[in-house]
Formats: sequence, C-alpha cells, structure tokens
Amino acid sequence: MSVAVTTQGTIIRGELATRLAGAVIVLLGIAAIIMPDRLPAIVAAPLAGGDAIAAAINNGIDAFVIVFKPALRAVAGALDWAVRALQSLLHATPWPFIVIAVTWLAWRLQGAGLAALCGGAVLYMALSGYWLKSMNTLSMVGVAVPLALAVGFGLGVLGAKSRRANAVLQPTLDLMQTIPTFAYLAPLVVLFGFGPVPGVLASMIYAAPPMTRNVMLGLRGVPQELREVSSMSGTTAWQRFRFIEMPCAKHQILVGINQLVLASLSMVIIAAVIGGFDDIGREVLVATNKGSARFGQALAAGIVIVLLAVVIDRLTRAAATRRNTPTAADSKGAKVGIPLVWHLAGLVAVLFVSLLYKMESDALAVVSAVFFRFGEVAVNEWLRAFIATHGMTLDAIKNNALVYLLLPMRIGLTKAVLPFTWGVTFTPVMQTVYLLAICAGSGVLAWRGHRAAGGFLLAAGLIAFTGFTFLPWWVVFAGVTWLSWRMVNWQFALVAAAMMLAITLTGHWQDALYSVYLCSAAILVCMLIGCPLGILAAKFEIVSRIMRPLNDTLQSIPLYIFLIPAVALFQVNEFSALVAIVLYAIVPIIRYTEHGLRHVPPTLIEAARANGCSPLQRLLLIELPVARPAILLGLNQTVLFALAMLIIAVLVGARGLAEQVNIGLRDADTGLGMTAGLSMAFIAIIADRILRGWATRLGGTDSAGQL
Amino acid sequence: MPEASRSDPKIRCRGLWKLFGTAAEAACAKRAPDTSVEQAIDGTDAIIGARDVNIDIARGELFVIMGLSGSGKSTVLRCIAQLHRPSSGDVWLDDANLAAMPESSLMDIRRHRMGMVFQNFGLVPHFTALQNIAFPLKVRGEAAADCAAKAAEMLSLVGLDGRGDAYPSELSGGQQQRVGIARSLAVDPEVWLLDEPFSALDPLIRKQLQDELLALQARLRKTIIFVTHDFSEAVRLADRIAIMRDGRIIQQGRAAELLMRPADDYVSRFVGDVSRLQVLRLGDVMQPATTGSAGAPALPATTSLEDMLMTTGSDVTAITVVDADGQPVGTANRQNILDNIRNPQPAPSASQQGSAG
Repeated sequence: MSVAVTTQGTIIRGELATRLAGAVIVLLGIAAIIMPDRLPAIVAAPLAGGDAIAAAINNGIDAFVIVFKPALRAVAGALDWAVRALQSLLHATPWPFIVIAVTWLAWRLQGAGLAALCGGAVLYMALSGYWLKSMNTLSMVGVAVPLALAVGFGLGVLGAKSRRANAVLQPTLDLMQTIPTFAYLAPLVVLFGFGPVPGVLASMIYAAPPMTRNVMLGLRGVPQELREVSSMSGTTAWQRFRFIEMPCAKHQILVGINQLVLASLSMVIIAAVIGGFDDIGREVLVATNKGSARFGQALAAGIVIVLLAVVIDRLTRAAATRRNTPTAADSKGAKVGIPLVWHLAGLVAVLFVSLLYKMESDALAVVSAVFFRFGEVAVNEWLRAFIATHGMTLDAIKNNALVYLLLPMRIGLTKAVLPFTWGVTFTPVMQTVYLLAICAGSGVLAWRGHRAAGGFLLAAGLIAFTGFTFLPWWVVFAGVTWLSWRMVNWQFALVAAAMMLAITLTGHWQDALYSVYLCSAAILVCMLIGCPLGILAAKFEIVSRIMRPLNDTLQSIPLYIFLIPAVALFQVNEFSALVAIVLYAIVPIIRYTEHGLRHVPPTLIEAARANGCSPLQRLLLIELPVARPAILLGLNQTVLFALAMLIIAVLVGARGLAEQVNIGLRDADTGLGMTAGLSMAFIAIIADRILRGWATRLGGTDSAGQL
Repeated sequence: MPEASRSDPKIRCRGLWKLFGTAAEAACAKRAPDTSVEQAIDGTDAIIGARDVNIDIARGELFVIMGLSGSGKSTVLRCIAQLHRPSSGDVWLDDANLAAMPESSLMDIRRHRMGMVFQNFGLVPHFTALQNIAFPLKVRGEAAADCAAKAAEMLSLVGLDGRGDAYPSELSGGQQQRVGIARSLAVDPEVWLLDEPFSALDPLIRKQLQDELLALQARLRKTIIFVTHDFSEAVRLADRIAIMRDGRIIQQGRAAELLMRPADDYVSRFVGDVSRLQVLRLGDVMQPATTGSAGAPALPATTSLEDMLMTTGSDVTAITVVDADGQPVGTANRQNILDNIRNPQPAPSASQQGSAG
C-alpha cells in the first residue's frame, strides 16, 4: 500500500506510509487473533522448516575436521599442555603463599579494606576444600586471558585505525556478544574434543569482544588536538601510538581488561557443562542438578565462584582506577615506607617458608574442609526444614505466577482461563467484552495523543488474549519489521525480516516464540520490580548505598550462580528459570533508572518546584519523562541480559531455543546448536536495535552506556 | 617590514581549496585540468573550508588570519601545516611545495622547521611540563640529556622556572599555554603557527601573553601565522591581517589599510570598534611631499596619531612627516587627521584581495 501513497510526494509521504502500514497490520492482526478458527491458513506456523541447513552445517564441520585434523590436534595439544602446566604449577604452590600474595597485592593496589576482602576470599577457597578445583578453573582462565588479550587488543587497534576493518568488526562484535555461549561450545567440542581446550577457546572468544570494544573506544577517544600535536611534533606512527594514544587510552583499556577477565571466568565456568576437567564450575553444576538435597554443597562451591569473580573484579578495577591523574608528587617518587624491593623479598621469603610447611598447610585445609562438609549438611537440613515450614508459601508463589502470569503469556487467556485454574470460564461474551475494552482503551489513548501507549496497550492486550506461542507468524513478522522500520530505518527492517526468515527456515520459529515469551515474562517482572527500586535508589541515598555493592556483585558473578537459589527453592521448572533470569537481568534496569533520575537537569527540578509541583507530580511529570531514554537503554540491557541468561536457565527448566542449543551441545549436533544459537542472537540483535532506536528517538544518547 | 623580503616570501599559498565531504573531494580530485574547482564541485553538497586562498607571508612577518568561527581561518592554518591536506592548490615553504609532499618528508619538516600552538593548549596530560616541552625533541631522536637541557631553557624562556615537574592539570590556563608555546619553540622552528592561542584565556592573562609574544618575536624574528577571532588582538599583534569569511579571504593588508579602506561592510563592521588614533600612523594620513611645512614640528612616519597628539602642543596645526633617516616624506595637517579618524569611508572599489601595503 505504500506504493499507492508514494504519489503524494514530499517528506510526509514516509510518515504517512508507515502509519497506514501500521494501521492495516493492526487491523489484520486483530482479525487473525480474534478468529483463528476461520482463518487457519494465515495462522498456521510457516514453513515447518527442514533440517537441511543444520545438516549442511554438520557436514561442513565434519569435512573440515577431516581435512584439518593434524592442525586441530596440534592446537588442542598445545593448549591442553599449557592448561595442565599451569595447573601443576598452581597445585604445587602452597595456598598460604597465594593467600598472602593476593592480600599483599590488594593492599598495594588500594588499601587495607580490599586486602581484607581479597585475603579472606582466598582463605575461604583454601579452607572450604575447593582449593584444587578453584586452581583448575584458574588455570583455564590463566591460559584463556592472555589469548583473549592478544586477540582483543589486536582487533581493537585494527578497528580504531582502519575504517574498513571497523566496518567488519562492529557487526561481528554485535553478533559475538549476542550469540548464546553454549552455541559455540558445540562446534568447539566437535573440533577439539572434550577436556579443557574447548572451554579455554570458548572463553577466549567470549572475552575478547569487550576488550576490543574498549580498546577501540579508548583509542578513538584521544582528543583530536593531541593527534595534531603529535603530527606537528613530527612523530612516526609508532611514536604516536606509543607516547600519545596508548597512554591516553590506558584507562579505557584497563576497564576492558577488567571486563575481559570477568567474562573469561564466567565462560570457563559455563564451559563446565562439557565436562572433562575437574573444575569448580563442574562442582556447582553437579550439585545444582541434584536440587535442594545438595543445596549446601552447591552454595559452598558457588560462593567460591562468587569470591573468585569478586577478587578478580576488585583487583583489576583497583589497578584500573589507581592513577587517573598523575600529580607532581608522584613523579618525584614520594614513596612512603619500605621500597618495593623489600616487599618482593618478603614475598619470596614467605614462598620458601610456605613450601617448607606445605604438608602441614595442606593437612590444615583438609581438616577444615571436613568441618565445611558438616556445615553443608547443616545447610541442607536447614533448607529441608525451611521448605517443610514454608513449602506452602513457596508453592503458592510459584503456582500463582504460573497460572496468572506465565500461562496466559504463553498460551493466551483463551486457553489459560479455565475453571480449575482461574475458577471461571472465559466465555465468548467475556472475550468480546475484553477485546472491545482493549480496543477502546488503546483507541482513547491514541486519540488523546499517547499513540505509543495506545499501541502498546493494544499489542499487550492481544498477546495476552492469544498467548505468545499462538501468535500468527505473519503478524509477528509484520509487526517486528514495521517496528524496525519506525525505530531504526528501512535497511534494518529488511535485515530484521531476513533474520526472522532465517529462524523460520531452520525450523526454530515455534521455539523462538517460546523464548521470546519467557524473556518477555522475565523482563516484565524486572520492570515491575526494578523500576521502583531504581526510583527509590535515586530518591534515598541509603537505598542507593545498599543497592550499589549488591548490583556490582550480581553483575560480576558468573551466571550459573543464579540457578542455585532458584533450584533450591522452586525445583526444576519454568518458574525457576524465570527467577534465575530475573535475578540476573534486573540489575541494569535498576541502575539506569537511578542514573536517569539522578541526571535530570537541576534547573528543570527547580522550575518544577517553582511551579508548585508536589514531589509525586514532579516525579511523574518531569523526572520520569526526562529519564525515559536512560530507562529505555536500561531496558535494552535487561533484554540482552535476559537472553544471555535464558541459555543458562535451560538447565533449570527453560525450553525453546535455549533447549535446542543445549541439545545440540549434548548430542554434538553442531548444526542444531548453531542454528538455534544464531536464532537467539538474531532475536537479541533485533530487540537491541529497536530499543536503542527508540531511545535515540526520545533524545537519549549512549552516554549512560558507561554504567 | 623590509621591502626586499616581500619579493621572496617565506610561505606562499596559491589557489588553496579545502573541501570536506568525500563526494566533493573526489569530484575536485578528478576534475579535468581546465575546469576550476568551483565548476567541479557544483552540484555536490561540499562543505567548503577554504576557497581559493592566496597568501604571501614574508620572512619574519607576523601574519594574522582573522575571522569568526566557521570562516575557515583554522582550516587555512591546518592546510599550511598540512594537518589537512588541501583539496587543490599549493603551499610553498621557501621553494618546497608542502601540498605535494609525502607524509614522510612532512614529518621531517615538522620536526625541524615548524612549531604549532593550539587553542586548548594540546598538552599531553600524562606528561609533565618538561616532558611536554621535550616531546618534539625526543621524537626526533635527540639524546635525553640534550632534551632535558633544551626543555629547561625553553621553560625559563616562557617564565615557568620551577614548574617543570607539574602536570598540565596542576597548571593554570595561562601557564599551560606558556608550556604550549615553549614546546612549539623547542625545535627552533622557522615557521611558527598559532591557532587561537589566547582565546581560552582570561582577558588580563591574554593581554599579558600578547605582550610576551611580541617581546619574543622581537627577539626571535620567526615567520608567524597567528589565527584569531578577535580583531583587536589582530590589530595589536599583526604586521598584516587577512580577514576571512565563508572560506574566502575578503581583504588583507596592514591594520591601517583595513581601517582606512575597508573592502566591504563586513570589514568596516570589524574595524568600527578599534581606536583609530592608536592604529593609524602619521605615514597613513599624511599628504606625500618632498619638503616639510615651514615651522611645523617633524615627527617620524611610524608615530601613531595618539602619540602625536600627546607630544605636540594644542597650537600645532601642521606636522612635517619624516622617514627613519629624518628626510621629510610628507606633511599632515589638522584636516588630514580629522578626515581619517572619522567613520570609515566604505570604498569597495578601492581595495580588493591581495592589495598589499
């Protein structure tokens, strides 16, 4: 129909066309949703999808393996050797020395507080009996980090220097960071076999992109004037890089290293699903899968992972923020106290002493570990007692969420509202009234000028009516393409349509709808809880103070950990998956809401007060609307986080695409894993671009992206 | 300035164009030899930074390019420094065409013959003042001891002794720009480029640094291109001024010439605020003559009108103007002077680009 309108010419043409297209789609969509029985042809899932594509990928990989077997073997052998060498070294090093060395480092980098935290954390690892497993994990991280550093840094420099390389790198990075982590574990296992090597390589692939991004950001951020200074000083390209660009970008690069190490750890933990290496991630995975019976063990081992992440995060962050602005005092070498040489000599002495008493300290660790096992049993007992007393409440929470939130979102009110669930029947009369109310409500909203709100109410109402998984495929296609067009541009609308087509052709459409449903449910919960928390944090300093370290920790710990409480309290089902996703994905929405509200221009707030706004009016009429772009960017992050967590949540009961990826990994069916994984990446990319486009239209910038 | 040096300029820009936008640049680069740039870029949405700029700058001259923001003054400076490669036209430094030079030769020229001062100082934040000053010496491979000695010398030249170990963030704006000046002079350049060096400073500091710049120039006699948006600064400093608008040079000449014969309304609006008594000299207002008026006091042609009024009695009605050797070159009377300190007489026909004084 846009053809008919093009005759009108002028700029209004595009605007009018989009609106008309939207209106027609809405009308057809309503029709299709209301009368599914009369219109079976347009409701049925499209192109039941063949396995042809997945099979082709499998054949390709098989052929590749046959051809490159010697090379693959060599790479695998080298990496395996490196991991095991580092492992032997870490095992041979006495734990008291590592405790003292880490404490010393933390003290040097920041101070007594960090030293106490890090020292305590490492001590816990030693005494809880998970020392060797932790060291195994560390030895994988230790091999993956330098690899990721080299690759990430090299690509970052390339991307910052060459426009052509950047044009290739940007979309690749977007894709790399949205493909679920399990998806590339599968081909890596096929290529390199079981054991630590696929984990190390996956970790490298996963950890390099944030480094690359930060290097590019840092190098691009070098002020133009300094580049000119450099040129006018007659520097060679290398001198400019060495003396001007690198030091200027240093801080950003250190931020990148922090993210890289955390990502690497996170991925090494995730890679435990492939097994073959006795690391701490495996320990948590096995204990978690046993449910509430081994909650104590899962918790104790999970704490080790959290502590590992926290120590690594705080140490690298302390190194990154230590010296931002040098002062004259620094350059004059005004060092207080003992020179560094003596510190190092002291550490060497500690190493010798601890080597002498290695047997004794290992025995100590074993004894203490025995007590930890008692503790774990006690925790299990406590949990059993807790569930015995509060089981009714927990079940009530779970069942209510399932019946009143998850089920309607999945299969629609028409099928979810039954006498034995809701206690009523959703009669045709009620259905008609419901639909009329939704249409009337959105019509009124649109008529009053709140077109976005009206559209949202209509979409939400119809989705609730029919359920995500029963949405007519072409309504989704048309709606998403239209949104992409409106929020981004027509080029991306074509890309989005192609991506959805790819999902369909690989036979993942129904799974994709399911994944979208579960994520939407989680995001809804995140918004309902996270936004108020963000508002509270912006309004009350005390809330902010409590939330900040909590958020820091939630964001730095590997995703696995969120499964432990979910499974312990709610066993393995859809609701546990929802809980795990919400726990992880809620952080950005809280942060961005607080950030957005705190950065409302003070003049606006003064103006509002001068005009006699009550605090509530000020919040609703001034602060929230101004903060809207920031909140949208937070929502965007939450969506991406939810999709990332979805793949992990499959271990506790999520289904859909994530389950397909997992099956692909389990059966070494690379084709299945890759197509399902790419489908998830496509969903993430579409959601990301639409939400960011929307935020930009509202006048937001990515400045809040530094959070 | 000496007439002799005018025939042998240090820097010559010939038909200099700078276009921004890839399409326009391509159109300009691919044009047939007999087409002008103007014709070639017709139809492309080119952003024109510099439009057919022709400048001659004499050895030892302090040449000011003056214009409002977006007029192209910084673009011209950057084209001369080759920080922007010109889209068309030549930039001659002595007998070398910088516009045709490969980047490697330019590096050599910048290491030895050019120094530049930047509007926002352009100090490297992670270097101390001394390290900043030594940077151009260091990159051209001088020994560390030589760098340090030379940097210390430069630091004291700009009056910052004792602040050498301070980082830029610990210095005031005026001090930072002194470091910038010291750095640009460290390689003892022949050509000194200053891009709005004092615009980011307070008025008092600005005036102080202007005085110091003049004092330095009296000693060093560099060939200077100084960019500013402040006409009074231009008048204070310049041997000659070029006024730019929309990438074009509207008029260039000595301050007095701009004052007395502004090329158009745009120029006359600038010159309107300047004290004519301070800018105009007897040589500008006199009637040329080979003999002086009888009984009139003799004053050099370079005397400003203000000084003339301060030093001569109120009863004096005519003055004999003499040159540096004391030979009479003209006469000035009350009427000449009054004519010239009244509002400018717009005379578009009387001057045009390139009317050098």
